[in-house]
Amino acid sequence: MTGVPLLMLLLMRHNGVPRLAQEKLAGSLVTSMIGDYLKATTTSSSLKLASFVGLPPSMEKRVDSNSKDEAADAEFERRTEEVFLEIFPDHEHCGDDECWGHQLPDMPMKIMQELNYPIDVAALVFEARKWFSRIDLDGSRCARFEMSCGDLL
Amino acid sequence: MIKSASYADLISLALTRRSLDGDEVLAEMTRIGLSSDQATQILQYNKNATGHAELDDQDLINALIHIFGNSIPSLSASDMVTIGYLLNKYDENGDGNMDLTEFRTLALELVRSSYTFTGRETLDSLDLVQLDVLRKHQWKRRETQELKDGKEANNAQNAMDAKKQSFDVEATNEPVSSSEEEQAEDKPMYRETKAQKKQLEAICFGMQTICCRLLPADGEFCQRAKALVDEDGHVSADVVAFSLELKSKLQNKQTFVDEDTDASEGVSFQEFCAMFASQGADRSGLRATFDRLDVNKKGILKQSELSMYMLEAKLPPDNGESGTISRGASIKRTPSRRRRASMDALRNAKDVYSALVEVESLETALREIFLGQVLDIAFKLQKEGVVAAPPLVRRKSKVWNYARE
Repeated sequence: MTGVPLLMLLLMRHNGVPRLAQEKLAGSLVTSMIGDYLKATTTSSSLKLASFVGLPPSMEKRVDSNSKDEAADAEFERRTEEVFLEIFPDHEHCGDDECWGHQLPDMPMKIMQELNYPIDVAALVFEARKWFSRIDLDGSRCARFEMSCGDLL
Repeated sequence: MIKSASYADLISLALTRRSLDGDEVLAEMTRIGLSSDQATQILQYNKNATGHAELDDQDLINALIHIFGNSIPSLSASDMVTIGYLLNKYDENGDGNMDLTEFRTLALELVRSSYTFTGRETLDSLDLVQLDVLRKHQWKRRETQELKDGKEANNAQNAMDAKKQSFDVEATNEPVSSSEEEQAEDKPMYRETKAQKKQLEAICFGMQTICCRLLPADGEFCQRAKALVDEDGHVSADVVAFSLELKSKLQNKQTFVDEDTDASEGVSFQEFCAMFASQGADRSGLRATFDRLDVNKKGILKQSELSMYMLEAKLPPDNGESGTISRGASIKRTPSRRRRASMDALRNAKDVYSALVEVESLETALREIFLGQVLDIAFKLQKEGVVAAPPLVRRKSKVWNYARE
């Protein structure tokens, strides 16, 4: 009876099954790593922005600094400027060499600074809950409890 | 009965929920630099019908999302958060202002990073750039217990401790040694063996040789090639970018793009004449050749037309007569001179081709090294419980087992 499993084991070793299993495992792990990388580096909004700024499929993806494709570069610059104008409408009044830069609205930037510039809304919610805990110095459960009891009576 | 039940719900809700009163909100918003009017705006998001100016955590989140969503008319809250994050990241001079140049850098990096992976890659299909990105990425690691006290790893406990620490307000105030942080960031996660190190040095040396042999005029690029390996034998992190640029330059050289000095995607007659300036060719003869090659008569030679010319130049006629390339009537070119010129062109093309093949083989070797390092990282991350792979053998379902019993 023990001969059959042993034979199977030897056959598997002979045919390189452990190596194949290892390769499959490695492939799965690398796929998982890619998923983690995408999760950590890209958000839906950044993808949206990139797809708007990025070049159309008909043009080659030559957006590197050494590119010699002037048409693609010009198109890329046009799209970038369009998005920049959308974010900072004041830029329309700036001249070609007179732009000293623009700022995002004051209130959200101050809040974002306090929340350590979260990468997306999920991070914003997480940081906002931590911020809430920091602000709520008196842990004010009691006031609401008293109020509720008052209502009940 | 129903009313008492609803009050009971209200009491339980009140016991479990916390809230910020108006003073707390005003004090905090003033501290971060907002005006009292802006703080009052936040307080307006109280959805509880209590009549008190107070916010619970969900109200605060709703208020923030509403503020972000209405800051810039065309942007949603999610877009605003991401743009704020990116502007802070790419604000080179740190003045909080973003000009068009900084924004172009931002957009370029964003496009590059967003299109690195499509999500459909497999281990075999990963290219050099993708492998380089995976090996350089700062992976979030979980410290295994063995590293601390030699006991068995308990990643669940470690994860719980890390979570507690992130919520602990006091812990965030503790200063963290910057040098320790830098060391942790600089230290690569993969292990580089001696054999790999030697191989990497050989690859860099191979690239240097190609660069000095075929691109001696590009002094800056040759300097970069020399800087790939420093005196201590450390290989630069830009080796992938350099190899891609080298290949691109060689391909350009191969396809006569170098002759297109104004990068107009075509070679004008002036540029065409400059190609033969050293050979003393007659201008009228060159004009005739140029007109013959210029099929669409636009006065500019396209890439395909130049490639055809290159092909002709590479094949010297057997009888010594050139019916295709006219060098002009005034200079009588002997068959030996023509053959020599053709052989020179052929030799140059052969050099570029062989260099391209060499760069490809160097890249293949580089890819093998990077693949090994990425797998090293993958198995480390698996051990720490950061990434996981599905089981190789599917277990039998319990339902099936019960039915069998």
